[in-house]
Amino acid sequence: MTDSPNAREQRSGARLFCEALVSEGVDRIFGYPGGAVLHIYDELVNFKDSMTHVLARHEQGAVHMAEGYAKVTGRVGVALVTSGPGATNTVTGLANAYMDSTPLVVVSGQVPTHLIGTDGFQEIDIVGITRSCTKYNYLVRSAAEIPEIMREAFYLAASGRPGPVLVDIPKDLTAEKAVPALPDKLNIPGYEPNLFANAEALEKAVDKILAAKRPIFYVGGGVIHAGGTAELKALVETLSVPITITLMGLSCFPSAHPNCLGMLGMHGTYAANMAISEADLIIAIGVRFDDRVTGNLKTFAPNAEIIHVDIDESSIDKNVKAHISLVGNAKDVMQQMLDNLWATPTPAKERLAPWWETIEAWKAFAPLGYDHHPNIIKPQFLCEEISRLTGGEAIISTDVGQHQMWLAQYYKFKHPRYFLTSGGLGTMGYGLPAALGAAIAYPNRQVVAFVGDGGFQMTMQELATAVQYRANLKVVVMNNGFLGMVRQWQEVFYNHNYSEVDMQCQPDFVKLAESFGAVGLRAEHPSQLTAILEKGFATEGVVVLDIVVSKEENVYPMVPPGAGLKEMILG
Amino acid sequence: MTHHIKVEMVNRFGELARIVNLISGRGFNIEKLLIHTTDKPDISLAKLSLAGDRNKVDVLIKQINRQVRVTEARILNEDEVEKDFFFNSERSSE
Repeated sequence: MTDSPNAREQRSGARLFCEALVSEGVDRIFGYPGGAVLHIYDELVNFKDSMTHVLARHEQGAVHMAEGYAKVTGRVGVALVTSGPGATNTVTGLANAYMDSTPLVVVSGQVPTHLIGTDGFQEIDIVGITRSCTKYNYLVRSAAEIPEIMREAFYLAASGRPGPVLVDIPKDLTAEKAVPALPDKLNIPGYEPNLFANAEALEKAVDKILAAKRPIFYVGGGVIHAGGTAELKALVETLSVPITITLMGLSCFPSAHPNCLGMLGMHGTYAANMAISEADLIIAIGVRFDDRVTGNLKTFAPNAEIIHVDIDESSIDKNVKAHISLVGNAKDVMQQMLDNLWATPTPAKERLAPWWETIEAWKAFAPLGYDHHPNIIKPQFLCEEISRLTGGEAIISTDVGQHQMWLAQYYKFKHPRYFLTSGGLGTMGYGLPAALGAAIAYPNRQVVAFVGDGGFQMTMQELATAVQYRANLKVVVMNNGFLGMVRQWQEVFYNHNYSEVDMQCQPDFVKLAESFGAVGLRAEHPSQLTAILEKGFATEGVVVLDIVVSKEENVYPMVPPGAGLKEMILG
Repeated sequence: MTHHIKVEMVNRFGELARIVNLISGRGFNIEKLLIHTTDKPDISLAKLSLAGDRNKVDVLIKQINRQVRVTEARILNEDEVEKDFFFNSERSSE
């Protein structure tokens, strides 16, 4: 901050806003200026020592950057936009963050108070529009409210089940003078996130775990949000229980760990889907039994009892009935479980030997695999090479579709918060800006955006942002010239009737990269792939790697929509 | 089946909108709705009726309870509904 704030001195709403950001420890704002936020942008210049503003090329990009920043740091991501189209352009990002429980504070300018409701220039009721895709949202009604609302917004975004909060501030209030006032304690009746599970239910859960013959952990993004990876590893290893992970949870447990069966669900591994189907006990932690995970609910885990740990009570019994529900923070509840286990003799590994024998047989029956081609780069090979060359030490993001599933299958994850993907909403165009947010948060880490040619073209203008801020960002475009996942569904379920999935006209991604001031590289033959990836990863700055892969490859295994998990098409 | 629901929330603009938005977004039609302030100055009370599958309404109630400034949401029991003038009143369309 430029000077120490005098508590009793009047200041503008814009200044109160900037001071609030500083007091929340914000160091990066991703945004795009416009008429309704001019007073704020004018004031921001005075806070350059505390906060850096990153100028996106589109408000959707700004929000995805803030998401990427939030996911890798575990802190609240901040985006700042103007009213009207600036605000509506944030909706996809807000919805994405809402579905994937990402803590965000998005601040939009609004037309001056006296113009609200008059269809003023760039006026839109963004609070109304975003009610169903924010954890909470505010329309500010006086400058004096700004400090308290901002404090609340950050608290709500980060606590409980994290999520996005929108704060809409009319322009006149950013000029209005007020004395900063904050209550000693936030008062939010009706909001009290539960950290610890009910002790009695927890004891019952532990008894069930110790008695189960075919138990399995099914864990997801909630473990990462809670910072519970150490507790999870301790539990899995103490109990010798297998573990399967959702897309959102992938980085919370090492992929190469012997207990790890990989991802489950529509494109999950054979072993994971068989194990969850045959289990007698599912210990579900920080997951929500999404339809892409469960397949047909009627045939989902027919013989299993379910222990469901989640901080969001409304996720429990929503899709699948839990036999024991433990409402609490994944990290704290797992620690409670560990404390209980240490009080009782740990189960002998031998007890689960028959279960593990069956699982090993499933693993051997249908491991992930593909056939190499002498002249065409297979996308699975590309994912394996990215995994091998980065050693699992890169922060990696994806868009949505085939490339996302192949990466989820073939990349060996090692560290939590190193994987950014749009899971719930399935947002094409997320990968590049999210990776850029991560690269800006951690300039010294290797960051890779792994995107398809379709998704890349939705937000590729953010290459300009990446170059402007000298990000160390590698963009690997898995280029098959198709909207691949839609094409796959049309092939498998619509009798090869390809309808509007052929991206016949593509830019030359190498020249495109160069026109942005980035480096462009291309590999078209398997013999070039490793060298091009190595060269790209070793080059400083922004590099776009156009990797031309086989056009009509399918992601397998695949559970057809509406089918049970055991009805996998293995390819 | 029709369910009669009570929702207690902070008396503040936009709170009812969040709840109505949530309900309508899931395809439930609100058949009756009453909202008023209470003797607690910062709390409003809404009563509403809607038809739907009990399991789905149970999930809906949890999602209403998840709303930041909702202090209580639940399905009222038969006794409570019987004693409540609002739920037993009829209104003509004129």
